[in-house]
Amino acid sequence: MLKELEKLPLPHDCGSPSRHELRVSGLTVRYSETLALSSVDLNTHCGRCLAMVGPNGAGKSTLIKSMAGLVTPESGEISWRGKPLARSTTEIAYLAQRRLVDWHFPLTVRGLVEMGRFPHLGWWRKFRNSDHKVVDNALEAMRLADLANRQISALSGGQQQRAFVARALAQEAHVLLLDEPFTGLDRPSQELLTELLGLLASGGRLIIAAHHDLSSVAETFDEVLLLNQKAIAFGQVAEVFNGENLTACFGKNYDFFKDTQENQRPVPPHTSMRG
Amino acid sequence: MDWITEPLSYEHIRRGLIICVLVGFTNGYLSAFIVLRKSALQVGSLSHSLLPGIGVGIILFGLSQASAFAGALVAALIVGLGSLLVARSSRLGQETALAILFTTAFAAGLLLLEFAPVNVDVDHYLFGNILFATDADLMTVFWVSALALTLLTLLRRPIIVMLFEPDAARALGIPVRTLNYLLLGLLILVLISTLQAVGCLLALGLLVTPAATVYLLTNRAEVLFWGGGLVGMSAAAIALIASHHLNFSPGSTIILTLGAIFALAFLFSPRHGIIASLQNRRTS
Repeated sequence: MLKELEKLPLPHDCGSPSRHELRVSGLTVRYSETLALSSVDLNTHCGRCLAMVGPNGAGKSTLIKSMAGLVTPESGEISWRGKPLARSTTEIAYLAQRRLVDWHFPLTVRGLVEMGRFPHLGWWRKFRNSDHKVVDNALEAMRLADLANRQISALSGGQQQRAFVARALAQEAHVLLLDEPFTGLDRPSQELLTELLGLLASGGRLIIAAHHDLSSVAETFDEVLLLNQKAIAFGQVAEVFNGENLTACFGKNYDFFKDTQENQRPVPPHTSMRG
Repeated sequence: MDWITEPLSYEHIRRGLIICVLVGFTNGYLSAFIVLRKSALQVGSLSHSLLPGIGVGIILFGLSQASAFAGALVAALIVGLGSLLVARSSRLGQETALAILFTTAFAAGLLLLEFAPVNVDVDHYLFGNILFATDADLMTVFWVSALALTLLTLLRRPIIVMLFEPDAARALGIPVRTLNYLLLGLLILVLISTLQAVGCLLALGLLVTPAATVYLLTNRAEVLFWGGGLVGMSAAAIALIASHHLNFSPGSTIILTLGAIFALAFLFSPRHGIIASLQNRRTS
């Protein structure tokens, strides 16, 4: 299957990946009295697949939202390609957790992906042929071409997640910020999404995901940030994803296997299959 | 064709029909936003809170369209902002706060209208009477409809993104807060101009039912807007003619017609209707 996918034209190669750098330095975020993130540093670039791992309330979602420009930090900064991350850049796509999306919104898969073109078209300019082509490519790259006219609630969890990735592709985003993309997906859907995200990274995009399932970090990502308000460790999965750092991140009584099993409990899909 | 030409020979019915078409289309179009935002309750509260404003407006400035308009506007703002304030500064949710504020405002409005120095027919503001509309009413409705439809059509793209996913919209640089205030402002304007046609009690029906009906028939948000407008417009126009022949109150007839159309969609919609889903359950 992988070979077949590689043949597909990936919409808009990002060019030389190494020049596109995302740098977070000294990021501190506070929600009224609660400290959510404390002086977090990290430094990555296009072509990488980065997992953010940590216990509940560790600040994973907050860090993702900060990168998307949705949260104003107390101090520190986030720079993208050497410049401060402007709030409205179209090069960064934010994909919310699936359970936060209103799946009964009257919207087809194609309609959802077309939204990715809106920032390029402005508020009322018409779709050109090239825009339709970009949407087609994005649907195809995420293997959704056959489902284009489905209502979004009539998709499986994996298809829903891929539809949002397709929207990010139509937006021609370089950085994809995903909040728990694998939660609630069955095994085959997880594997397909892993493959596709890997392909996008090797095509020059930067994939950043908050991630729950520790057992799949090594097969899915190449970099990892262990987060618990502070950055406990950051680097290549092979180097920093070890028992010592995990214990530091998840607490003294941390038991890798117990936690892994808990996280692998099947999560019932929250949406009904209507349509 | 007598049944349609005969009522149109009366000037007040002709004027009423134009108002029905304008109010029906504008409200139906706007109802798409209300259905997508799932904010029917807030709109209900707003429509009820207009009544005391009208009472105060008439007491202070005399019985005129302008004084009723100004009073309604102030009342809607007080209840809208007041509910935000109560919800923020106490442990009550905004919906609870709204329910308290609007029932209080509604009761106060009824009392005020009873004691108004001029003779005000309360029923007129509760249920409206489109057949007594004046040329001034018609002009108000026309300009409010033109403004609302122009703005909503121009801004439909960012508004749809915002309604679907406020966070993603903000990440794309869409001014979510400004758009929300703009929508609320347009909603209040349209509500006030609708008062004359169906009254504040029944305005809610025109602002929710049309798009709710289309919601059961389509998977495309774009269709919801135009479809809502068409349903609202045709239901209001047909109901006005029918009410003349049946000697019914026009306001109630409009809302009953909308309700009947909704019931048909609810039962027979090929995708989301009750009968279709019962059949699906049986076959699967």
